[in-house]
Amino acid sequence: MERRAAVRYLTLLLAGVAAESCTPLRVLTRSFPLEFKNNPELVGRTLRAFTAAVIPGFDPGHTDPARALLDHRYPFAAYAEFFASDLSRRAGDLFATPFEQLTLEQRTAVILAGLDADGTTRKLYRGAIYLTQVALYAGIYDDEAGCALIGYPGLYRGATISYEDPAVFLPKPRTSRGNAA
Amino acid sequence: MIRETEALVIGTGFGAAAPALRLAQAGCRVTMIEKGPRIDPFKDFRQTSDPQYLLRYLKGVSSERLSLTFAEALGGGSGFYEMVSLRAPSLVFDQVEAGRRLWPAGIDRATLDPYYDIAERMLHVNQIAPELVPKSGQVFALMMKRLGYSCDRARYAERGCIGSGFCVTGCIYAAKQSLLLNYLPQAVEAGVRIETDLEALRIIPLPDRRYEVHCRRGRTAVTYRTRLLVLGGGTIGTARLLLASRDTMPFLGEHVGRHIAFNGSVKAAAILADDLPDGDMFTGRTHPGMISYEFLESEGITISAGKAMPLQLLAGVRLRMHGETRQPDWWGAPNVEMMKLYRHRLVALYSMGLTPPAARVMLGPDRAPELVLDMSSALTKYYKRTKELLHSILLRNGCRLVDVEFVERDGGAREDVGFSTAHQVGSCRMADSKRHGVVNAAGQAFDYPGLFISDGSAIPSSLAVNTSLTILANAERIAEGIVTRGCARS
Repeated sequence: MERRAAVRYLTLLLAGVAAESCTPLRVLTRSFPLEFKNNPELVGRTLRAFTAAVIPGFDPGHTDPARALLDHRYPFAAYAEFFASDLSRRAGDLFATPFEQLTLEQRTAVILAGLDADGTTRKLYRGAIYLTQVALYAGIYDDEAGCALIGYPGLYRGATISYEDPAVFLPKPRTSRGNAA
Repeated sequence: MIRETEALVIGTGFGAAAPALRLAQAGCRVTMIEKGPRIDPFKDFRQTSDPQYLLRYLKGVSSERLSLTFAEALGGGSGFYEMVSLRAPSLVFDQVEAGRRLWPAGIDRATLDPYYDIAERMLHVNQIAPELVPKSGQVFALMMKRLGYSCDRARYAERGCIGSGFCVTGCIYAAKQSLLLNYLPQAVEAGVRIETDLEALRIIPLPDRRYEVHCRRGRTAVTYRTRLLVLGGGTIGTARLLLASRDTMPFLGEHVGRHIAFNGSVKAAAILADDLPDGDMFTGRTHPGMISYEFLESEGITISAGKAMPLQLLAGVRLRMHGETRQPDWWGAPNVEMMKLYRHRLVALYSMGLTPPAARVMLGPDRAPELVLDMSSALTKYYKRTKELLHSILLRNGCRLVDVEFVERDGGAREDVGFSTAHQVGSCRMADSKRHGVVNAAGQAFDYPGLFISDGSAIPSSLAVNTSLTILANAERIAEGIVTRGCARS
C-alpha cells in the first residue's frame, strides 16, 4: 500500500521475478517449439491475448499492451518466447485451440493452470501477471496516458483538491499547530 | 588522486546538509560527497510512473518481513519525501530498552525544540490550511470524527503547493521544500564543494588524527584526507560504510549496523461506505493532510490516511475484496472491478508506531547490505493489535474491508506480518556510552575523535511520525556542537 514498499518490488522488476533459481531447463536450452523462436508476430499475438485476460476491458488504443513483457529493460523479456509457447501448449492441451483464439474464460483457465503448475512455471506466470498489471494500470510508458479503465489520468490535470466547507469533515484537533506535545 | 579538505561530509540528505552549511558558515572549507546523481529540481523531476525513473534514485534493502527504502541522489531523500514535517512527540524520548532509556541523557523534545525551530524556518514548514486538506484526508478525518476521535492537520515543508499529487516522484513545481532549494544552494554559496556520483568505500584513520576516505566514481579512485569527517549517508549508507571499514577501525564497537528502528508501519484498506463521500486517491498531497494522535499514549501509534498512485500500489501489494470467492481473485475481472473502485472509493489507513529497534544490517559476501528483522512475539502482537484497530475504525464506519497482501520475491503474496518504511533510523545510534551505541550525544564516534555521525543512523528510536524533521533538527544540534566547540579548526 505504501509507496516505500513499492521500491522493493520495482527492484524485482529489474532483478527478474521469474529469473530466480531453477530456471526451466527448456528455457536454458531453448527447447520449445521453433515457431515461437522465429515468429515474433505469433509471440506478440499470444502475449496480447494474455494481457487481455489479465485486465479484461483494457483498451490499449494504438499502443501494444504486451510491450512490457517484451521490453528488454525488464528481465521477463528473456522468457517471453518461452512463456508464449507455454500458454500455447496449455491451450492446446486443454482446448485444442491456439491461445489467442480462446474465449476469455478459456484463457483464464489456461493461466490458472500455469499458476497451478510447478514452482518455476508459477513464478513465470506470476511475474507476467504482475508486470502486466503494473504496466497497464500505471501507464508506465506514457506519463500522460494514465489508465482510463480505472480513472487514472496520468499527469495532474488540475482536479479539485478539496470539498467545500472543511468544518463538516474535520474533528476537533488535539494540538494547536499539528505537532503532538 | 588525494584531495585535502578541512571537513568532509558524506551524503547530501537531511543528516548531511545542516553540518555542511553550518561548518561552511563558520569558515571551514567543506566538501560534500554524494553517491547518487546530481538533480536539478527545476528540470529533472517528472510526474511519472516509469519504474526506470524511480529506480534511478530510490533503492531498497529487504528481508522477509521488513523492507526499507532510501534515496541515492543529491539531496538524499528530500527530493522524494512526502514533505510531512512533524516534531517527535515527547513520549518518544522516554522509550526504554532493557530498563535503559534509549536516548542519551539530556536529549529530549525540549532539547530539540530550538533546532526544530531552525529546521522549520529553513524548510518553510507550516500547518496545512483546512481548505487545502485533500478529499482523501477529509474523508479520513470525517471517519475519525464520527467515532469521536481527534484528528489534526499535519505540517508540511512547502511553498505554494497546488496538490498535484506527485510528491514522491519529485515536485515539478519546486513547491515541496527539498534540500535542493535551501540548505544545499546556501551551502554552495557559503563555499561548500559538492561532488556527486562519488561513493565512499572505506575510512582509514591516520596516525595524525586525520581520516582518509577512499572513494570511487565509476572506475576512478579518489581519496580524501580530512581532520573532520561527518557521516550523513543515511541509516543504511552510514552503517554500510562503517561496516566496510571494520578492519581499519577496530574500536568501532559492536553496535554498528544494529538497533535499526523502523516506525512499525501497519496498513489497512477498505471500500468506503455508501454514506461517505468519494475520497480522491490521485489528487492532493501524497500525505493527505491529516494525522490522528488519538492512540499515541494508549497504543504508541499515530494514524494517517494513505494515498498511492497506481504504480506505488500495484508494485507493492495485491488487493482483493475481503470474502471474494471467485477465482482468480487478484487478477482478471474481480481485480478490474476492485481497481475501478480504487480512485474514488478506496480508503487506506496506516499507522506509525513506537516499535523497538529490532532490525540490523550486515554486509553480504559482495558487500551489499543484508537486512535482518528479529521478530518477537511482542512485535507480532503489536502488528496484529494495530491492524485490528485500523480495521475497527473502518468497520465502525460501515466500510468493506479489502485484503492487503504483500508481493513476495517470487511474485507470490502473503497476508502476514510485514513492515515497509522509509523511516529507518538507528544503525549507528547515539548512546551514553560505547556499551550501548556508536556515537555520543554530541554525535561523535566513541574512540574516534573528529568523526561525527549526524544522520538518521544516530537516532536511537522509532518516532511514530515521519523522521525527516527530527533527523534535520538533530543534525543542526550536532553541527552547532561541532562549530561551538571549535572542532572544525582544532
